[in-house]
Amino acid sequence: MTELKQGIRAHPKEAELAGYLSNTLTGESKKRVEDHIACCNDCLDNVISAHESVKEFKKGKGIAMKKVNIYLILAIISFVLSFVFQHYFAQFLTATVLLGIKWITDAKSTKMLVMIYEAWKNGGEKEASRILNSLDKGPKSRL
Amino acid sequence: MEEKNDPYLIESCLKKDLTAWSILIKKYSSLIYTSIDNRLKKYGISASSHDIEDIRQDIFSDIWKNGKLITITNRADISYWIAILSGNAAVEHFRSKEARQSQVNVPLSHRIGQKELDEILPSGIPRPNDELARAEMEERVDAAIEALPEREKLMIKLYLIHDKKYHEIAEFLGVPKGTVSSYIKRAKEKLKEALKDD
Repeated sequence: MTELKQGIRAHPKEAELAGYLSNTLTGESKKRVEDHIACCNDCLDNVISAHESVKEFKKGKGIAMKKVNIYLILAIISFVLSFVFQHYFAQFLTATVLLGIKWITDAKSTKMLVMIYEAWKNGGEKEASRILNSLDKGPKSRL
Repeated sequence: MEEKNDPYLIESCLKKDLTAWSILIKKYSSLIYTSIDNRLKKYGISASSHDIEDIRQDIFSDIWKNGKLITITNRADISYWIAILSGNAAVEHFRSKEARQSQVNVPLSHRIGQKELDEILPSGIPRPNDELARAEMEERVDAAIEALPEREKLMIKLYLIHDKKYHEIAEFLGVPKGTVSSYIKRAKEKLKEALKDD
């Protein structure tokens, strides 16, 4: 966040900004957030884009995050080919299974859940947090 | 109906119920995508799907790791909270990338369109045509906006920088359209006065 000019209090917490947008804040707390976003361009940007995003989301216009996975397409092609070229039925079927597994494990949310579940099962919550910690550091290490 | 399920979903997520986590991830992933994209668009950044995916993963791990769900005050509708969290995470992600830093930290006046700028600059003032004069003018515009009283400042920023119409500002702030109109009119007059050459 940018440095705050004199007179602006510390940034409101996420829950406070969300409360302002959902109109659940009243009186002094509402005024405090409003005075803050008038002066803090970061928080104003965040509040405005959150307002626009939720509007789109509720109208069902949000970005469709489901992308057709290349492994899924290849698995389907391989499955179809296994019937076309019956000499290589077993090979194509094996490829279908492998590509299918790759498709499932490639989904990021699946990956995340599997990691959390395994860590939790093996080492309890501490281990799960450790895994999430390393997941957290993953993208940043590429910077 | 889904909204009504949110408090139960949060409760289950707090108990580290993996099925609930899976539902939460599925339900709010598209909102997170949209929020990241909308926030970055404010700075003219078009993030790649790889970047957005990284940020999305950061957000869920942050919620899990830091037990952030407990901080939610309005469990009946967590969409605003998710959107705010995503916007912050998007900016933090790009602030840590040196090459993009300048884009995220642009001066206020850079984001005002020419038409809107003409509305606040006094008539008869020559428009700057070299880099130095433009930078000087931008600095004066920024300072003049920041010097306005809070309510006028908020409304003029929504109008000039966020391209909001009077009725949208009125709806956002929960005030009558006429109030917005008079506040913005007053703010424009003050800005014209402040930007006059002495």
